Amino acid sequence: MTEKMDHPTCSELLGRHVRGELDEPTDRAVRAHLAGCPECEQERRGLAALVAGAPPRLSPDERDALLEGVWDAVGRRPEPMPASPPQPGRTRRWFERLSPALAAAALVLVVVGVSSLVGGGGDEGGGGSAAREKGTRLDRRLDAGVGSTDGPRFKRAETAFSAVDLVRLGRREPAVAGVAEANPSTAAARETAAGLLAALVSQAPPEVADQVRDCGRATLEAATGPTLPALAQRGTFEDRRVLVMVFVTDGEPGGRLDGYAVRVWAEGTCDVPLHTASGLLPSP
Amino acid sequence: MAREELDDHALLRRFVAGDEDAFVALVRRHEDRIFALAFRVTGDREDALEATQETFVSLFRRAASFKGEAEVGTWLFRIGINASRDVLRRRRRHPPAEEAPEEGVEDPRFPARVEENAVRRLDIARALEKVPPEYREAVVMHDLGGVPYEEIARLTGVALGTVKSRISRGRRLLAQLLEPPSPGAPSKRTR
Repeated sequence: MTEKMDHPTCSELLGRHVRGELDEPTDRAVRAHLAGCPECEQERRGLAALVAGAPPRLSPDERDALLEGVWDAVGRRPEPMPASPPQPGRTRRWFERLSPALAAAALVLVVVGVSSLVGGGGDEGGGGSAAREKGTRLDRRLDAGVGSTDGPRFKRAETAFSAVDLVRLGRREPAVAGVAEANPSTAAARETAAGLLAALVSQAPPEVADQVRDCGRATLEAATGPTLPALAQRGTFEDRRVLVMVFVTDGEPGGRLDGYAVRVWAEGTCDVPLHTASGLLPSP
Repeated sequence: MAREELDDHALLRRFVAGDEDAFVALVRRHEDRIFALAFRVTGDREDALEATQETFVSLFRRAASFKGEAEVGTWLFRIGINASRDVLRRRRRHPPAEEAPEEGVEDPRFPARVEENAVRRLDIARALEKVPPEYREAVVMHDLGGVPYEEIARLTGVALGTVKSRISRGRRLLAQLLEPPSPGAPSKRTR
């Protein structure tokens, strides 16, 4: 490369120049051109500003939240990529990650849930509603996911919850609706609650699994009516890190499992909840 | 062949045929690059996450319509640019009503250096927004996405020389927008 360089050539080399990828003679030629050419030097500054600093990378939690958000938006369940795919072309279902005994129990629940929904118009076709321009991201995810047939679920996305968000979580989260729809009768609630809680614990990251189990058990033991664990999620509430759990309940005593109860505990404790919310689920 | 060994086109074909794990593999392969793009364009981590998510939602919904005339990564990059701009537009219409510490009062959550970097990122994002769209797209695709001139020309349907010119002018416009005006600074150039 000679010392003489024209504008277009310099422009083409600038990217590699600012990344330090040019060989020394070429880089020297670029620098010589830049020294005598205010326009190319200005171009270099614009490019350098654009690419300055190391490219940001997603954290592991953000990766989980990203994929979960995509599945929610398209109306499907989030699935981690298996290390060894069980079969080519086949997506693992959540119960396949459980122990065989739990998986069998969970499968029964899902079969009951799906059979009760045949003809119900679940949104498995990828046609979830597009993101709304107004409202929170939680709104959009919940809007997009309503109607799916989820079972109990530990949501890995961390959310900054407001009290309104927590009500929405109870009323509109697909996992809550899924558990309610799969268990329309209060009769067998006590028998199925332990299996559902175990499923939640098995999905939870190790650092929070104990709290999910303990808070779930404490809630089930204290409950005076049928109560099924349906959802757990970490996040923040009023500037504190929290664990949120949502339970399906009999919204009106003695009737169907058509209510929800939200419990919010400070991280690491199952003492008195920081916040509670409850109400009736929307009609299917 | 394991999914990790398949190229993007093969993964996309498998996904369109019903293999959702192929979709997950595509997301994992491209998420950092799309996130980095969105971060540069929006100047905000949360906005970048939202734009990245919307990019892959678009991939999910539009995969079947992908005709294969470009690299999947380039196609995704274009979607990512548009998603980032959409997020910025929404943010301008509905700005968050939180934060904004009082002027002159140091926010203890952010050390000054981090704050300066954040301001700079926002400056770049705002400057990018002021660059004409055809310049901005070319600059972002080439300088942030590493998309070759020739592929940009093919995708955008303009001559190779036009792509080069747009990138050059777009970079200089960025510098002009980011720097305080000074006497004698170059503003126009014909090549």
